[in-house]
Amino acid sequence: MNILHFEDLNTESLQHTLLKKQIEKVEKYSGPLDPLNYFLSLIDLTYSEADRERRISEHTMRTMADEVMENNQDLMKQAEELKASQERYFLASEAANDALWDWNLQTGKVYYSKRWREMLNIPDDKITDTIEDWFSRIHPDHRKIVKQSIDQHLQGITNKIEIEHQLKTEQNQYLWILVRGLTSQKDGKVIRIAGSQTDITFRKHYEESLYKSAFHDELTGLANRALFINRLDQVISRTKRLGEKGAAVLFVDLDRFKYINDTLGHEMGDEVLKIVAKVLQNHTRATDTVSRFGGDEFTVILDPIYHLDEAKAIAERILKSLNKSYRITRKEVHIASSIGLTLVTRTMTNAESVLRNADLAMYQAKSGGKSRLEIFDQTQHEKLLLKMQIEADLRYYISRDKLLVFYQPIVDLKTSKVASFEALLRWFHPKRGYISPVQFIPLAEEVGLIGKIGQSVLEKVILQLKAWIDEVGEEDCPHIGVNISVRQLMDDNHFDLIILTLKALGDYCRFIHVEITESVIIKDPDLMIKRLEEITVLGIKISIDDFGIGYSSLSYLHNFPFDTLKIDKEFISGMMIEKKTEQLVKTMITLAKDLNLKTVAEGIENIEQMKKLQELGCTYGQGYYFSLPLRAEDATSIVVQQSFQTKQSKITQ
Amino acid sequence: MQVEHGLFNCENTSLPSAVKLKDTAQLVLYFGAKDSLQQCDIYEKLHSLYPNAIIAGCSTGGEIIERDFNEDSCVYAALYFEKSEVKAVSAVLHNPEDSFNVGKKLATELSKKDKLKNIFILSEGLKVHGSDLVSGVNSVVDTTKITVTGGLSGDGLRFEETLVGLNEAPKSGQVVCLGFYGDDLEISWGSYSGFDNFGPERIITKSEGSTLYELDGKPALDLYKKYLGEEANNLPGSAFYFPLAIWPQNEKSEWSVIRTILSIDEKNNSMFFAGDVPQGWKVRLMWGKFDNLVDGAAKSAECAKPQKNDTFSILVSCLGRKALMGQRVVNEIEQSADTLSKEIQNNTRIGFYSYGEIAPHSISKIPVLHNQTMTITTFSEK
Repeated sequence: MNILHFEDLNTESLQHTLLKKQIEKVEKYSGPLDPLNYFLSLIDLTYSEADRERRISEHTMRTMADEVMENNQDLMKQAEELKASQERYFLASEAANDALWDWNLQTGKVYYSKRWREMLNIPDDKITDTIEDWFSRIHPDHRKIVKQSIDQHLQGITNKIEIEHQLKTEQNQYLWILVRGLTSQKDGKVIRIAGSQTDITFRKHYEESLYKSAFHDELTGLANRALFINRLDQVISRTKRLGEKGAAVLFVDLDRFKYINDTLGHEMGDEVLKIVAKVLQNHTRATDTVSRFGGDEFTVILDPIYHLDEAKAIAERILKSLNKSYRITRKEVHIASSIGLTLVTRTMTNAESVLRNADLAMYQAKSGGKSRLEIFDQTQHEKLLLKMQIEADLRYYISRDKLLVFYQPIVDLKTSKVASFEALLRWFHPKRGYISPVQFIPLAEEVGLIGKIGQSVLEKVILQLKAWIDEVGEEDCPHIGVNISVRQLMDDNHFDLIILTLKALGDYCRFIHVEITESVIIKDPDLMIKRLEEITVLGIKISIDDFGIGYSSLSYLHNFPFDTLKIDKEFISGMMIEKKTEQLVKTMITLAKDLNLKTVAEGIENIEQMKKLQELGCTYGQGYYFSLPLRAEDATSIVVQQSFQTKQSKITQ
Repeated sequence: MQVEHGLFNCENTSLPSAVKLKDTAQLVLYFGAKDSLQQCDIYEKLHSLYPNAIIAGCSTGGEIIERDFNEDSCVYAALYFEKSEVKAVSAVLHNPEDSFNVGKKLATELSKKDKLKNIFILSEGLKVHGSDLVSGVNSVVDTTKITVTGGLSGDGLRFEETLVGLNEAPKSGQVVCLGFYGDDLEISWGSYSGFDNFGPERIITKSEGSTLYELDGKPALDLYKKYLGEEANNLPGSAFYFPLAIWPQNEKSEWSVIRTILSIDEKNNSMFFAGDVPQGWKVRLMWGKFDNLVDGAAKSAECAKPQKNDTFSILVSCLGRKALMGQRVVNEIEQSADTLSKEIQNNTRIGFYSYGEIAPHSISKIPVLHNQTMTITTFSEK
């Protein structure tokens, strides 16, 4: 059945290009198949190709859907893992109470966690996502270091950001914050920085209080000695290095603080110290350092100081404010202080030497009459240094009982016999040699050692006296003169001790002479008379020493219970040269006789002097002409010898 | 310009006995099935017809002439340029690694002559690195002034041996470059595929030259087989269904080029492509719907469309398109013809289905090796 003829087909009306091409192909076909079957094979192929395309298309869609599903599941799994990880991180950060931030450097936006806002008390609607939200809250003093820390990390100099700084809360309070952060890179480019933020305010305050207690005085809040020395060392090294500006150190010591403490109580003492601290702070600048150095000592670094006058002005203002009365718990308390000032110069090597200079200046202010400002002076310093060394040595010698008592004979000018000895203190220093009492007694008085020394001499004399009585008997035992200073007499404790010591001597007191100087007469005469009478009651005789050079208040002489008048050696040596002096000596001897006093001429050096004095009717003589002060054993020899001679003459009589 | 063209095959040779351009034709181009070329003594026949002409051609995966598609035939065109000149050079490609140097050497030769307008490349289709060959040419010529177009020869779906010839019988391992010269010569070109990207974006995680091993850390061949389903049995031919769009990682996908599979290696679990597949580049699978492919061809024709009468176009379409479209390749040929000859007269067209097309990239304008495109080069004289 071959009803289809291709030549009859009207292909013009056909739309489909392929179909038209197929018909054309069949028309040109010259193969083994008949045209219809060939045409059918082409049509068949077309359907097959279309089916194949559809099949592949469907398979592709299915495969893609599967793949997308698979990817989706992977993504969901990753999302879940991510969520779990985020939750873990959230819990961890919540537990750590840390806040989080994440700064995308590509978009410039910053993510701030909820905790971040809470930490700073920022309402949710207030914060945006800019870096300014953070940076504008950083304390102005810390902005530079925070930016520096971030920059250094961005440049790869540091391997992380870790910086402590202060951040302002919404209520304008500053918190201490520890920020940690790390960068994240993509293709070698930093794309974000993220990290945590921890509130370390509590820790910081704790550290500060620890620091304070380590370096500050609890009572006054001032720097303590350690911090002061540390600061001073810094100032010294800076001055040495740069030199263009100097500094000054004040050493402030309260006068009579012990007295305040003892009389008004420690609480009052503490209040006084607080006032002093306040005064010092009020008169110093922010760059200065005020410290409580210890007890009632305060030190100040004035920094910078360009001229001594500048430091002096500040010190004087302080002195003025410190030397007045303050009303403390309804009591009027007078505060006074002495201030030593020294400059810190390039030659200073350490805090110790600067402090020593300031301390020395203060010491001078004290010894110069207190409530003063004294500026450190190198020559004075050297003198003072010597004095201080002697003082230290003296204390050492006293404590070891190494001061010696020498005995100088006092001779009866009629009989030429030794009537008594004056006990004299002698100090032989292994390095300095013989140190005169003229040199160390005033020092001992100044530093309050005189009582101790005086008591020691008295005790030694008593022992010696007893030894001599044992040796030669009461009859032949000479008297011993002991010097007692005004201070010993004035001080209640010392005086009580003297009386107590003498009383123990009992009847032997009659062998003791107490020698006092003229100065007793002007210092509280009524008390002196009273005290001297207490001594004479014991049977002790009183000599007035070095008579004539001092106060010459002859009118007082009769009011005092004196027994002997000792004419100063100045008159004795001058007597042979000047007639006027001889006249004076004569008058003194006459006066003494009138007042029923015996006389001792001091410092007789030759026979002429002795003869003259004999002539003038002086009772006793003392001096090198007769004998130098003698060691106890040598004096003992004389005592023994004289006793022997006395006894011998009795036999011969 | 004048063009004579025709089609013949071994069984029914229909070469004319006398031709108009016998003495004047400067160039004769031919494209034929490998068997036809070998059996018909093609060069001798064309040389006897056009004794003065340069005779160049190659083997194919199907031939195009005018509105028709043929297999197992041979198409030819003899060209006479009134105002322009043609020069041809060739070289033997002993080793694919020499591709760049061969391209460079041939382009250097052609550049010696002034007024070069176009280099048309006919290359060995299998033992070549097509991308390197084009790069070699680009390295010598100013590609902003000189267009580089052409194609890789084919061997149907056999992928065994391709042939290229210049003034002698075509043979394996040859590269021929034709230089077209003259101020009055006008070249227009178009190159589009019509394929659409589909599926997820992937990354080439392991590759070497034109050999692809892994996508996203997984064997690429496995992925292909999964998508091909039962068609996987027809590999490598069936891989034409899914060419790859590849582009550098830091660029947008608009910069992509298309790569088609030439062969697979089950032992190494690898695939060999008609062009390099650089490691680190991004990849998406492509899928060509017949209608879209036809639209792609039309778009190429639109770009290559001459503005005057008496013109000549060479159509180089990818074998993959033919494998995919089957009989429907006629649709893209028809569509191209319609577009190219619209409103003008005498646009003569021959062409072939190739293993790779050469044309400037549509965005970068740098000549590259394409796959899966319809690439059209049109010649005309002012």
